[in-house]
Amino acid sequence: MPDPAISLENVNLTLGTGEAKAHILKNISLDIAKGEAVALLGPSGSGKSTLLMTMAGLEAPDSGAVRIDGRRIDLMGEDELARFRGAHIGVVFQAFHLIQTLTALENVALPLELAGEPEPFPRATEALTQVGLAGRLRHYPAQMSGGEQQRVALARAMVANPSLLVADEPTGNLDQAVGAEIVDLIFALNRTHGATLVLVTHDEALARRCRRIVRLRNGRIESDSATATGRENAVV
Amino acid sequence: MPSSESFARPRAPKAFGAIFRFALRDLRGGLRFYGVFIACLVLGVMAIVGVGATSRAFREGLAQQGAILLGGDLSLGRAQGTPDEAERRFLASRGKLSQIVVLRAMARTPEAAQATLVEIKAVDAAYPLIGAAKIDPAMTGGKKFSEIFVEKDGAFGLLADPALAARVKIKPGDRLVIGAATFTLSGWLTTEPDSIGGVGFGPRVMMSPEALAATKLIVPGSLARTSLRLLLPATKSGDADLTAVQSDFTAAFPDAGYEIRNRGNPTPQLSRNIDRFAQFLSLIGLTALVCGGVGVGNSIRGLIDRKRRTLAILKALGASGGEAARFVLIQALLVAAASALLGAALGLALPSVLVALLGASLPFPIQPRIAWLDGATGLAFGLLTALVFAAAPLDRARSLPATTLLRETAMQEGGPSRGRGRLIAVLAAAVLFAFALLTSDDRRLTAQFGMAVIVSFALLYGVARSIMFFARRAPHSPFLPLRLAVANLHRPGALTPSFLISLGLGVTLLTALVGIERNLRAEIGQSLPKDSPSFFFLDVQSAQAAEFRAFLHEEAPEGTIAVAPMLRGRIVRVKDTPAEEVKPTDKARWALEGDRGVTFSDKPPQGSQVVAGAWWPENYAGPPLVSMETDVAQGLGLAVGDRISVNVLGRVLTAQIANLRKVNWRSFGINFVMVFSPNAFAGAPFTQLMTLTTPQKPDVQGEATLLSDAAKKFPSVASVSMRESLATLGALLGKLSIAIQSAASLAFVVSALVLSGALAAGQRARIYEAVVLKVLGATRKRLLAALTLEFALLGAATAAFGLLAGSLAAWLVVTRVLDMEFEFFPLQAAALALAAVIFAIIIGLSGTWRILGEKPARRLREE
Repeated sequence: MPDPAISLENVNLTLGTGEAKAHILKNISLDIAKGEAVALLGPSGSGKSTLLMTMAGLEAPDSGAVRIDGRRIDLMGEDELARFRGAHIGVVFQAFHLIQTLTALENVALPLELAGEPEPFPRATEALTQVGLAGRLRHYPAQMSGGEQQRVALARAMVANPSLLVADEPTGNLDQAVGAEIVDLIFALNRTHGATLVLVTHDEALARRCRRIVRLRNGRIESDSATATGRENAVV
Repeated sequence: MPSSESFARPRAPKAFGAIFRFALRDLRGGLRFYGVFIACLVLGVMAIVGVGATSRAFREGLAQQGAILLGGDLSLGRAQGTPDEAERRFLASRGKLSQIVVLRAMARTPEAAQATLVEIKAVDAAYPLIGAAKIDPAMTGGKKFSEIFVEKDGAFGLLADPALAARVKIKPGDRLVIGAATFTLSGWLTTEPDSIGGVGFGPRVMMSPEALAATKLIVPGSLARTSLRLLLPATKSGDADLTAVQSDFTAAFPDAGYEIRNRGNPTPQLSRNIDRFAQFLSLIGLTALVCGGVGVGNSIRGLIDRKRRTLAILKALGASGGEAARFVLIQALLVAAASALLGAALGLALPSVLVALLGASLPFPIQPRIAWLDGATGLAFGLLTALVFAAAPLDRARSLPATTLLRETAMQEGGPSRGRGRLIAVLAAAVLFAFALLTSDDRRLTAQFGMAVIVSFALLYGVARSIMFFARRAPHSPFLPLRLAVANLHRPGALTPSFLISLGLGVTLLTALVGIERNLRAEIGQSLPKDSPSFFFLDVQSAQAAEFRAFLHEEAPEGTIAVAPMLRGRIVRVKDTPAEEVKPTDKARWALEGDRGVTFSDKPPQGSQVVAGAWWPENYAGPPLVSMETDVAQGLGLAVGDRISVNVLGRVLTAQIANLRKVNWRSFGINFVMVFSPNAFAGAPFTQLMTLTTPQKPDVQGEATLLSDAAKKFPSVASVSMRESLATLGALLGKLSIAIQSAASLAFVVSALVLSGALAAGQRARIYEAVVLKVLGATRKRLLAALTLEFALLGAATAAFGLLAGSLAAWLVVTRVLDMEFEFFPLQAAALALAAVIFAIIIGLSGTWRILGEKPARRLREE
């Protein structure tokens, strides 16, 4: 695979201390190509969310290498990592994680402002318009529904045009209909921006919309296979 | 289907028992969430109980040692005049009698290289009637105390306060000259039984009456004070016997003019001052406790926030809102009671700690005793404070539904009415206020203080809410850290109210205290008028006045000399009412206590202005007239035309008030409360009071030279250096400042605790936000900038309020209570403001430092 967007090499990660210590990721090696959409599937406790967080630089491995766009993020310092994440990685959480004291527009503008963009608000407005929230710019998270909050989170994740979008069970807190809308949006944005997409889900149907499914069990990759979508694309 | 009985709730007491057990069980998990809660209550209660216990220990010390401090069961003091033989006989027939004479004079080394003002105490062979003097080196071989003072080789024995060594280079065995007599320093007087460390302008020296006579300092008109002390026989020393002797003496010698004190209250003025000072300190303690109450409230909020899952589970399992609130209330009250008990115990131990640490160097007798009432008072204060501040957050736990309790911002969201919590808080506050009034010696002061605290609270809360209001509507700054900081000012659960109230009260208190102290210091030294005298000379005999003037002129040719005749007198009747029965205002009380200097003049003294009535004509020859200082006259209920009687030299002189004068005491020139018409004292012996004002203030060396020259040439004249007097006053003020600053520091420590508690309570929300920002690319520098800005903004707002309110309070105290002109010190205000901002930033950052190092994924996983 020429220059993968994400490359994990023998990644190990342990969490907790003493008797509570748990080896979560065991010798994970995985490459994901640029623009690829990959679903991480597995039972609870299999390590899929931790693997996603490691790809986003939110979790540091005990050993092994994590490369994003060819850069070793596991060797970066905290602040360097924060800046890198701001520029290259968009994250969507199950629990939205919006800042309650900021309006939708301010939440979305944050990554641009942190990256020192000169005109963050027009772009943030545009991003919110793309997710259908042009009329909710001045609303605070508490004044919005769960679906709307996740749209804001999505707009925030994509506004800086990251090369990688990671989503941790993005529909987990939403009902089926709203969840489907969000998923459509994620894939639409993935196509529009050409970003690499990695998402964690329990939903097989959602996973099948990706090109590739990586299944985890007990901290190891159990299988790694292309989906029908992926095969179609490969044929094309 | 279960019967309706199976869903029936247990009867209330049973449910309460279950909740109580559960609360106790939950407490086993540790007290780590109660750190600030405990610290605030312990410190606040300790301050209140400690001050109360110390002043009680002092009062009881005075009562127990009253006779020792007084030098007998009864003391009769009078300026000038040897006691009448009949008076002595009368008293001697009632018990054991001793006579002492005190006066100020100059002591010098024989070669007159050094001279200093000393306070002479001439004691007879019966001294001390009670108690024992301690001297260094100690007496040996069963020698009598009075034997120390006998004349040997042309020099009398002398004991001196060790402080004399700091003024004159002298050691036991060396010679010293006082007046016309020579002395040998027999030893240091380390403990003088009948002395309470008041303000003495010179060190004490003790001698025999024979030695005093040899000094030739006692001449008609000299400012000596004689005291007769009476010790009743053990068989007749009850309070009734004492009262009988006192009233019999007054009846037998109605015009003797003695100031009579008994062992029950040996130093009324000191007792009153100590009481007032203790009252003042306990108000500062109360501020600390009230300030700590904010911390208590925050702690309860934090506790409920942390226990929200437990509470939600309780509610989900069928506990009512009231039971959920009781669960927290029981825990809070148990911890509050334990904290208040600990605080009370520490407070009760304070007098013993003071005695252990300071021991003999304490200027007052202290009799530590565990007074359970003090402890119970502290406990009540602690519990009431906890209830006042915990009621509202507790009610939130009651009224929020289980689902809300499971959410992150459970305590911050609006919910059902908080009316009940507020009502309980207001009721508890009213009880706390009433309790403070009940336990206070000065209810008016406490009521005023209470109102000031309530108004300050309301203002601070109003300012905090205004800041939040404006922050919410502030235009969005393009500078991200500023926008984040401003957002944090108004976010739900923002620190703004806690910060403003706790630090605001602390800064206000400190600004007020520092402002008052600076004004006092300025008053006694820094802002002396240029024409204020450098020296006062007392006891200049009329016969030597011209010669002394010439001497002063020679020593300071450019100096200005002012002269006034001076006598000592005691007010014995006000409008024909005996002085003891007069109820003066606080400001005038001093005029009735002890002897006051009086003078006579045919024209109004400089530095005073007649504001009512008219001055008497020159060569006035009618009935005696007097001019009175207007504030004292008002305080005694006197007006022009009223009569006042003064005992001067054992003779009662009644004069009519001809006019009232406004006196500018700040000039430090010669001025008297009472100025009589010259004919009032025709033929009476008097001395002159002189002042020397030099264009350039003399340096220490120049001053020493003048003092030693004066002491050598005019041994009977007592010279007082203005610089030294002010230094003495400054030192006294310094000692008071230490006590005040300690109390204020305590209030500040509580402020810091409250702030750290408030920070801890909101920590989870802050960490969460910081983590989200990190996910989005925020560096630690950015986060630090936002946090610093937030605390700087809060600190600046707090400082602005504190400076304004504190300066206002200082102005009120300085102008209304101390009757001085208020001066604002801008540099000091700026320094305080800066210190408050830095303090806010340090406390804020120290509480949130770990936010910066928080690892995002782990934190987000917990959410």
